[in-house]
Amino acid sequence: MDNYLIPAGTSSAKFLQFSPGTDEIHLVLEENAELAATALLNIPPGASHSLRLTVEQQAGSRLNIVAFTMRGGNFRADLHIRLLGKGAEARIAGAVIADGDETVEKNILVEHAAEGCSSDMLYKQILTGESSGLIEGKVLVQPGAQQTTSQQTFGNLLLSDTARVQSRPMLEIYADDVKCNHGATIGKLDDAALFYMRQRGIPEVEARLLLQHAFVNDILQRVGNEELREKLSHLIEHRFRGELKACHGCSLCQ
Amino acid sequence: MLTIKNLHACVEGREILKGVDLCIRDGEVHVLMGPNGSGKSTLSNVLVGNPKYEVTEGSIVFNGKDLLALSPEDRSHEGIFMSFQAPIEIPGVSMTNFMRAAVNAKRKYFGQEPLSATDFLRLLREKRKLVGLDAHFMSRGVNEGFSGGERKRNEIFQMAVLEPSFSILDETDSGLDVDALRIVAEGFNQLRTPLTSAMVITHYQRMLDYLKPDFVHVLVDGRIVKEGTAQLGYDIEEKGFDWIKEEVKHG
Ligand SMILES: Nc1ncnc2c1ncn2[C@@H]1O[C@H](COP(=O)(O)OP(=O)(O)OP(=O)(O)O)[C@@H](O)[C@H]1O
Ligand SMILES: [Mg+2]
Repeated sequence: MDNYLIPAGTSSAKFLQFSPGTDEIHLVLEENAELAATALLNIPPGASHSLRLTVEQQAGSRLNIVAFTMRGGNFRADLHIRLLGKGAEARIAGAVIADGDETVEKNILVEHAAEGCSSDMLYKQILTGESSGLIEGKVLVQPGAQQTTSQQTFGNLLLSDTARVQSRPMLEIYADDVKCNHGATIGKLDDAALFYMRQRGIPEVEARLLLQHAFVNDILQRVGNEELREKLSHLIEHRFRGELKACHGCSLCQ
Repeated sequence: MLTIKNLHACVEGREILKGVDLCIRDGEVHVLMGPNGSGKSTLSNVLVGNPKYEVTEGSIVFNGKDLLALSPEDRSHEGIFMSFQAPIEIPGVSMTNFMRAAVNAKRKYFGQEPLSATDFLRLLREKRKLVGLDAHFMSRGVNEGFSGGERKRNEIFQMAVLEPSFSILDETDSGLDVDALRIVAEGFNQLRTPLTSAMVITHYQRMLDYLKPDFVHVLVDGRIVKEGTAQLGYDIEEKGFDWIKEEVKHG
């Protein structure tokens, strides 16, 4: 178990790259602490990874997690984020790109246990081959957690008939003064957009690639560090071109 | 430049084009008019190879090549451009990246190296000026949040960048305010050369004033039923299409 504490009033940034195996991480954000964490998973097909992440956030703290599952093998993640102090804010986002027989399963629970907290989940999956991507994201608003705002946005691109997708935003609310929005979509690449690009001379493969990249662009934009964002953007492009090799904590993105 | 013979085409199993013949030579501007739903956009889409439209009969020869055998992207590289009647949004793909992909794909087709970053940006700047499109549009997603008029202007901007030899303008004038229409039409006229041609679809006389077309064709129910000079366009503006439909009925 790895424990991290972000001391009151400080802000820090972390980049995490996971290897096959199991990781357990416990994070504490003290009052008004800020953490921007970017995570990358890129392991060989057939390898497995499981992640259990628990977070405790005190008053006024701000968390921004952006996770990229470029190659997930068999990946399971359990996230439990507890907003324990007034006005805490959690933004968690993830992009999943899966093909072959990769399976990705994410279970996310954001618990609003104090008033005036906000949370925002943004998850996108691009699935092809026989891969499967299952995301269950729940917002739990405890009694007394008034003036909660939460947003859950789940988008999925299904690029083959054999890929399997499930994405379920869930809400459990025990307070009355809350504003919670959620939405989930499952779709294919937009034919009209594809044709528009081809009319301008962009070859179909390239057009598909641009559209897939665009689909996860809003997640990429949540990475605050521009240099890291650029590197991740390139990794994603390589991934779509089928040129990305699995790596075990290589230096590519450090 | 372009010869269309006995063209029949279907959308979702319904025949829309019922035998279109049309010949456009180098340097000519042809205007296509016709009532709503007569098949003008269908003809345009068939020319650029939209897979939603199925050609069931007939032929199209473009600069000696069998157009129907080419993919949409190759038709584009060969010099065909369509300004869409309703340009769609592509959120997340910036105008700059979009245009870079388009320009370099065409260069690759002709065995040329990609443009350098400086040359590419210079090209965009120069063409933006031609149609009065502000720089900030380039960092936005393709047509993302653009107003109707801005989208039309953006179409002509893209045309200016790609320098097609044959352009199809599908109601590019609709949705433009008076000033924007003048800028777009003047931009279009500046791009004209003795070697470029166009098929311009419009419902309005103002476009005829600006473009001074060589020919006007009238499409009714999937067939070209009347052809003439620009004067025919002015007659339609004044009298509508009914008299033409009557003529057709009485042979
Ligand atoms: N993608 C499509 N799917 C279904 N029907 C279509 C499609 N495109 C065209 N049609 C039908 O084909 C017919 C001709 O349409 P088209 O868009 O070519 O007309 P138009 O002459 O361009 O009309 P307008 O002046 O209104 O633009 C219409 O009845 C239209 O509903
Ligand atoms: Mg039309």
